[in-house]
Amino acid sequence: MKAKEIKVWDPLLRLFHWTLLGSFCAAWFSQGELFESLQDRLSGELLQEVHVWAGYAIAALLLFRLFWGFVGPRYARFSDFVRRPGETLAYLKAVLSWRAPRHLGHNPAGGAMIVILLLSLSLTIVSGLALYGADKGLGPLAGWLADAGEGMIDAIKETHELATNFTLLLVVGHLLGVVWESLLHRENLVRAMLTGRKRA
Amino acid sequence: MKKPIALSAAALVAIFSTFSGAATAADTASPAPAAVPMSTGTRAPATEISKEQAVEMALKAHPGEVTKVYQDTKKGKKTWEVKVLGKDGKRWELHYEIKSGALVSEESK
Repeated sequence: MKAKEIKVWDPLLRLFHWTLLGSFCAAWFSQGELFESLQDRLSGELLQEVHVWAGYAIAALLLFRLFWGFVGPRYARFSDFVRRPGETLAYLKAVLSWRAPRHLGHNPAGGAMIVILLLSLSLTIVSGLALYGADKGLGPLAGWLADAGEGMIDAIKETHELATNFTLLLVVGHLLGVVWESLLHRENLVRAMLTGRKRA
Repeated sequence: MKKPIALSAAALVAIFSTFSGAATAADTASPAPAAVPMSTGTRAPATEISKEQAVEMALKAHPGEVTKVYQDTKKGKKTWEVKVLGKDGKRWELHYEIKSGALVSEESK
C-alpha cells in the first residue's frame, strides 16, 4: 500500500530551486574556465550575454528567496529551518552516526546550508556586477566603478572567482547531504523537490 | 494560501522587470568615461576597424594562434576582443576599440 503523502514544498519554492540551478549552470558553463574548449567553439558575444543575464536572473531569484523566507508558506520560512549553530552541529553529528531524526521540512544542517549558499551566491552576484561595472563599464554599478584601476579590477575578479568556487563547493556538500539523508530516511528527496510531496 | 502565492508572483514579476529595466538602461546609457587612451605605440586608423584588422594587429603584437574574436566592451568602449595563444606560451587578451582601432587593454595569463 502507498504511504500517505503531504505537500511540503510549495510550487514557487520548487520553481525557485530549479531555476536557480539552471541559471547557475548557465552562468558557470558560459564563463567557467573548466569549459574553455567548449566555449572556444561558441560565439563570444553569446556567451557574454548568457553569463550576464544568468547573473541578473540569480539576483532576482535571491531577492525572491529572501522575501519568501519571511512571507512564504511554513516550510519556506527561515523561522522554520534556521537553527542555532550548537543545534546544527549536534544534528550534523547525529547525521554522521546515522541516527538523525527525520524532519518534514529542512533539517538543521540543510537549513544552515541554505543560508550559507544564499550568502555565497550573493557575494558571487555582487562581485560579478562589480566586475561588469569596473572592467566593462556596464551594468548598474558602472557609474561608481568607472575609475577602477587594474589592481582593483583584478581584486574584484579574484573575489568573483573565489565566491564562485566556494559556491561550487557548497553545491557538492548540498548534493552529498541530499544523498545521505535520502538513504538515511529511505526517501527520494530529489523527487520531493520536484513534486513537492513527502511521506507524512 | 492562495493570497501569498499571488502576492509573491506579483513581487517576482516586479523584481524581474526592475532588474531588466535597470540592466538595459545601464547598458545603453552607461557613462563611458572618456579616459585617456593608453599610449601603446600602435598606429591607430581613424576609421572603424574590422574583425580581420583587429586579428592582424593582435598577431603582429603577439604571434601565435587566435582562439577567439568577438565584440566586447572595455570601460564603456566597444572593442574587438582577440584572444591569442601566443608562441611565448601565454594566453593574451587584447582589446582594440572598434571606432578607432586603438589598443584599449592588453593582458596575459
